[in-house]
Amino acid sequence: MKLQKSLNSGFVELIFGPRWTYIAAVRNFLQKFLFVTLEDVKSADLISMAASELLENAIKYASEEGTKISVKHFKEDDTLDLAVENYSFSDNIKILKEEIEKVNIGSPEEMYLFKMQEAALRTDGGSQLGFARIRYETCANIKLDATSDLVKIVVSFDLTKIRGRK
Amino acid sequence: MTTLDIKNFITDKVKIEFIEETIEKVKLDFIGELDFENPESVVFPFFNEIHNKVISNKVKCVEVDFTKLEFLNSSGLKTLIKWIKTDITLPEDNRYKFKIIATSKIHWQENALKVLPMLSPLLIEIKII
Ligand SMILES: Nc1ncnc2c1ncn2[C@@H]1O[C@H](COP(=O)(O)OP(=O)(O)O)[C@@H](O)[C@H]1O
Ligand SMILES: [Mg+2]
Repeated sequence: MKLQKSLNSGFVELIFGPRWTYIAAVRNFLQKFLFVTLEDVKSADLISMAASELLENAIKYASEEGTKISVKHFKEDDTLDLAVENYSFSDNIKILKEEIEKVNIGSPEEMYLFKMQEAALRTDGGSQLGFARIRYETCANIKLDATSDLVKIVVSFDLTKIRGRK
Repeated sequence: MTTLDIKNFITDKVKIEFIEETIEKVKLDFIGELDFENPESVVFPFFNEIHNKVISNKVKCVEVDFTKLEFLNSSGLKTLIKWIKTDITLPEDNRYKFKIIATSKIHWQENALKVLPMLSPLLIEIKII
């Protein structure tokens, strides 16, 4: 085995069981790690917020053990990919597909506001506010890659945009 | 001076404390990380108790200070929106104002919270410091 020494960008991969208390631990670790890697507290805060939302989902909607999170920084492009994987049930994956399609259309602000109005009326545990929040707060691109019961959500951040956004 | 006679909400990760309780204003400080798996059953009852006592005591303004809140998950945000909604859908005479204090130093706050006044521009105000 060889150690990859050529990396001049940050890379993280973590695998753990679906337990709620991992979320804050991973969120706070990522915030610190990204602050060192990106040298920008705003990007670190917002990306770790997004990671936290994705991990909550991966744990809430998991059908079996195993949650994987990875973060890849592409220094040349000034972009970063955050990916979270879990197993889930087909009913949930169907909702997930529809939700991601929905939040990707229209203006992020309008969608977030719409989802806020909707959230107040929901009586189940969910808010369906997570993806709309990620997109609105970070202008990121959210993609879903689902093959049978394995779900992979990839959120791509344009770091130039995040730093420049007021 | 009035007192709502409600205990502060304290867990090992988050504290919601009463800072001021007058007839003009009830002020709450949020401190720590609010990231419950099910805030609907954990913190919404607390918000609802405040809501009911604010109405019965005819308090006209609730100020919520988030400047020490490091994190709020989307389901926590939902419970806050739900509280605001229960206020803005009351008969006009019973409604009270919401004043939200947020900080630009904690980066999720500004974006996540600044749209809240759009739910009811006359009743909800946000100040970002
Ligand atoms: N990792 C996941 N695996 C399976 N289903 C998911 C996953 N993430 C989200 N979903 C589905 O997409 C919906 C929307 O997610 P989100 O916007 O975060 O709202 P919430 O978590 O409050 O329900 C969820 O209610 C769930 O049905
Ligand atoms: Mg969610």
